[in-house]
Amino acid sequence: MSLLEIKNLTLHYETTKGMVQAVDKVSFSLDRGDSMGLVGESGCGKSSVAMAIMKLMPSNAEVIGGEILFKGENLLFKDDEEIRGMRWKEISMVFQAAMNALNPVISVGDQIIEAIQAHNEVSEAEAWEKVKELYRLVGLDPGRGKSYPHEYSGGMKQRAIIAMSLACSPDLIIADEPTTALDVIVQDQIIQEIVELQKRLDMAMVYISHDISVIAETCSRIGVMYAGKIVEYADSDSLFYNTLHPYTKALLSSYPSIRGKVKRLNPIPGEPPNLLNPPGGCRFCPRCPGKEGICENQDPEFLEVKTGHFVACHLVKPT
Amino acid sequence: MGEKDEILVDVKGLTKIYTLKRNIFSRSAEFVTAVYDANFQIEDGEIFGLVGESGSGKTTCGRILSRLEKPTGGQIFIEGVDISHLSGRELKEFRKNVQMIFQDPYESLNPRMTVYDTVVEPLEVQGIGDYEEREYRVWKALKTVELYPPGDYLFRFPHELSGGQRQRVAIARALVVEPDFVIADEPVSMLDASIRAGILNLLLDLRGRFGLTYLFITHDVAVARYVCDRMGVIFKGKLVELGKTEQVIGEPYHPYTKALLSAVPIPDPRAKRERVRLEDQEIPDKGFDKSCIYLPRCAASGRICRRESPEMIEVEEDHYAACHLSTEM
Repeated sequence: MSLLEIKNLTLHYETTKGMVQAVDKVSFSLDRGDSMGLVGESGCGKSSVAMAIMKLMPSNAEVIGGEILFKGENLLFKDDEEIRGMRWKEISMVFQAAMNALNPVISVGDQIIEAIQAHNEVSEAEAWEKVKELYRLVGLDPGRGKSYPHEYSGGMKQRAIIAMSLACSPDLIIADEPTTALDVIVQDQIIQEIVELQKRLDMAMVYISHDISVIAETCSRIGVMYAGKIVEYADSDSLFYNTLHPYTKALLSSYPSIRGKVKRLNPIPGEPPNLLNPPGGCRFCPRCPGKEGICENQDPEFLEVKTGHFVACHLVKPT
Repeated sequence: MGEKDEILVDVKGLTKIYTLKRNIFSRSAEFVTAVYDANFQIEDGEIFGLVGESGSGKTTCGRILSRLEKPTGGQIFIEGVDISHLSGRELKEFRKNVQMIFQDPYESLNPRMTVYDTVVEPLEVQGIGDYEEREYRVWKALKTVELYPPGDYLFRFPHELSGGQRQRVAIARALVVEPDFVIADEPVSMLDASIRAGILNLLLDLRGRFGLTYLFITHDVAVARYVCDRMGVIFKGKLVELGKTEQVIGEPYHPYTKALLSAVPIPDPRAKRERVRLEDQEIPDKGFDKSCIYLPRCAASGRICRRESPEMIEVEEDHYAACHLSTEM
């Protein structure tokens, strides 16, 4: 049994202009100790998926259909009380600007203790020991627990947040753009830290980023999202070297690298569709270089075309 | 490129010091050295990249070169004229030749002005052409930035445009006065990859078509490599390495450049990279301290690094690094 299994998750946002179809029939599964990346451009629904797993959706969000199975239980059926008990203890999350979410008037260590004591019956002293242990784990000086957030650099704060997310030894960690606000050198250190910890503690991880180069280095499996749908899902190597979906291909050729020859980048013409009123057929169809008649009318199914390699495209035939 | 190529921009000893917190009861004040003794030249028709992390002073350089701010020290010659103390009519004349593109197209465009009003404004300020001439120029500028057909965009407001289109409007506004030199400060960092590629290609094409010269400011080394002919790496207000892009990226000399390059993620799961291990520590603003600015983080520092700040040394042809140890490697 997979640790996390998402089946046909569909999520809409109600706005004054109408229903925004933000997530449409998203399915994937993740095994214990495995890491997957969810990559896509802004507005593609990747964060909405993360929020749905944690049940942290804004009040105007509505889950239209699908299941989120965690250890076989559907999280969507759980009430707030039960979910609260699970957050941090079983599933924890590192947000994009989480470092700014630290309370400026409480020492960082005390904030971590708060999380620990909310879920475990431990004494203050034991909790401090745990904080020190966590600090060592994420590469912070254990003596800095009593410091306040303003005494930390951006990278240190993000490390502290990671320490906090590990405080109750969760089985699943969701990292939503955890390094996006950081400089490249610090970003690299944090990514390294996350990858090492994920392996060492044998946690499952969903890593969300707009940056496919970051995802390439962190995750063993990658899901590419476009306009609310996962269009391709495969192990990292196949996704890069045996790319099947035209959107993934286009996305890859729009990234500059500091290695190899400098090749002219290929932008994708047009823009992502408005999810208030997405195109009827394939959502990538208006920008697709190889579209055919069927693409305009029929939504392609998300099929396993090779073992472990899923694609939603009419042009890709199963082998 | 040889010496005969024309130098368009010549920056000599550029320094900018900001004064913080001046206590009214004393003469003491706190200073922040944003840029210290920067020297570089940009040739006509060249794209020069300034790469650094946040707070490195790269934006300050751009703001001074566009004369949004005055330098504390040093000289900046653009087309042979020292622009550091221009004012009044001369400054206005200068702005005809030097334009700027900013990072955030959501903030740099006035939300209450239509595309036409936004793009025509520089012409009005500069008093270029009559009504018809201006209309023609705006039309042409929009076509140049591939907002086609221009008629569809003229009367739209920024909120009716996507991020990529907004940045194109900002570029049209910069180009409408037909400048020689464009300062682009992180022009693509707010854009998604697929849109970003289009803007980068546009900037490259414009250089080819109009012989524009750019100062391209970015934190993204991969982007800098894609667009720049030469680049400078700036760390805590100090230029530490300077050279052709392929030299700097292919064979970096300064330990900071090495660390920076080793931290750039590569869009390839099979790629392996050697990481330079660093201390994640805050570097204090040291003002005019004599030691090397990179000393607190440097793994290879020697005695001399503590005693004096290194000068830019030519390590190979047209490739400079400010490191005492660069010649030993």
